[in-house]
Amino acid sequence: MITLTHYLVLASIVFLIGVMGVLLRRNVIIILLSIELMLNGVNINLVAFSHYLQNMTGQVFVFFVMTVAAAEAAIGLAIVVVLFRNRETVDVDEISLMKW
Amino acid sequence: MLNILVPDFRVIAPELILVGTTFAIILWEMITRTRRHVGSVLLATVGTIIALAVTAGLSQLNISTFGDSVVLDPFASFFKMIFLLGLLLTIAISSRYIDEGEVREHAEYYALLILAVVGMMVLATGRELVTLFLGLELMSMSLYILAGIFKTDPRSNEASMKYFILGSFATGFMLFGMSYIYGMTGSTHLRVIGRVISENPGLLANKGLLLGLFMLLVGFAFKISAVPFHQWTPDVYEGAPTSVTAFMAAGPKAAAFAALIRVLMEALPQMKGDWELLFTILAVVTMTLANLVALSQDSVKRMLAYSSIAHVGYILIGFVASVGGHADRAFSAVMFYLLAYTFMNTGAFAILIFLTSRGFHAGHPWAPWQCSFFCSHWRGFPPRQVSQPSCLYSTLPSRGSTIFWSSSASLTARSPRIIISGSSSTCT
Repeated sequence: MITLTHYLVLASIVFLIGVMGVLLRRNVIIILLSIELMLNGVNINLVAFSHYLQNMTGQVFVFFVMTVAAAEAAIGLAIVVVLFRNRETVDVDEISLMKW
Repeated sequence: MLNILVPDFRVIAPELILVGTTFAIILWEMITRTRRHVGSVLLATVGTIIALAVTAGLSQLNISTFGDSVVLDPFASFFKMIFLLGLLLTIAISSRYIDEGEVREHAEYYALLILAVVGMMVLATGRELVTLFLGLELMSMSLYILAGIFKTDPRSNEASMKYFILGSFATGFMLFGMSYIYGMTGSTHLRVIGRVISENPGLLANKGLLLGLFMLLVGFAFKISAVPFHQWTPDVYEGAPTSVTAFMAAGPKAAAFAALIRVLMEALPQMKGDWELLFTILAVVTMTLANLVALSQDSVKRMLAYSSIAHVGYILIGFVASVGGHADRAFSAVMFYLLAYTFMNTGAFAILIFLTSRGFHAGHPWAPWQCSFFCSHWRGFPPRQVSQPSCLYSTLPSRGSTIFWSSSASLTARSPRIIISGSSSTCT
């Protein structure tokens, strides 16, 4: 039997993998992926709660989160493209004209 | 009888006007294909002034619509006016600066400025976690692009990148907190959350709700750049175009504070015991560290960035003070502080733009005076701000120690500021 707790634990694991990815990986593209992973952890949370509470708000929230995540990915990749044109790198360690 | 609820569009009238203005600006540039940006500036200014007039006209109303998810009350109107005034000032200081920079997309610049303000207004009016999230994202995404609007300048790219990564990171935390608050209370509506918590006192000890509150506050702390979460601020402020920095330092912060006040007062007032301690620590650490680090900066922009972080610390004292039973007075002090801060901060950056292009000697005898005027904000001008700590002392009996700590930290934190503004006025 899969209970709410299982879903919450799974969501926390996905979210934490995302957090670790943002903190530890050096490639900007991977960092963008990790941010998506964080948001998807939140989505699992919301759907699990929504199912458990028999309340639709959570699932509507998920749609908004997904839409915003898509917009965010577009902006993030655009910034990466502009950055790459000027610096020819996507390594965050080399993106340090200013103190990080 | 047909009984359909028609939304009350007065609640979002200024937002609609601003969105219309952005469309008009972009269309205007597409149609005329002009390299000059007089049209964009003019349209943006006119749209902002109309929105300001409408906001002022509606400022006495207290109505809500769209299923009570957006609300127009005097609190929201006050913040909307702060944002619009900030936008007006930003448009005024940026027309020349952007022209001299390498930005060819004037229309995009002004449209994004206005869209960011729409996001801020949604933040100030939202009474629903989903609405607040959307407002926050609209504001943040516009700002990510604005920070990198100097496309060929690597520093601007870098600022944009850093702002984007850390901003989205913070959004992730905030959403995680929101999902737990929704899961524990069964609603995303702030009022309903507040009611559920007050009807079930057992929830106050609930670990899930505490986790939700904590993550939500971490997200907000990122957005207002309180100290453990402030790392992005100096870099982004330094790398972004100065006019954008002026804009970012005032409006978005005020918007995040507006949303934070509404969340705390309408949804989580029962949990004040939990967030009071958090805000005390944040306020003390922010004021102290930001002022100390500001001392060692050699870039004026970076110093101003740390100064704006320190201001966040002062504003956070208001949140600590609100616990003592005079929440209305504490938050009205916070609101006044934000208004004054918007003017003084934009002024400081405007002077910076002026100095970068011309310097102090170019036959403008008033420039040093203006510079010292805006810097005087760091020492506690205008004077009513100083009454904020005294407002705190009035709540002393109820919450002795924490208030005392944050107030004394505030008073000591002011002394290095005098040195800073002293050293900055030597450049005259």
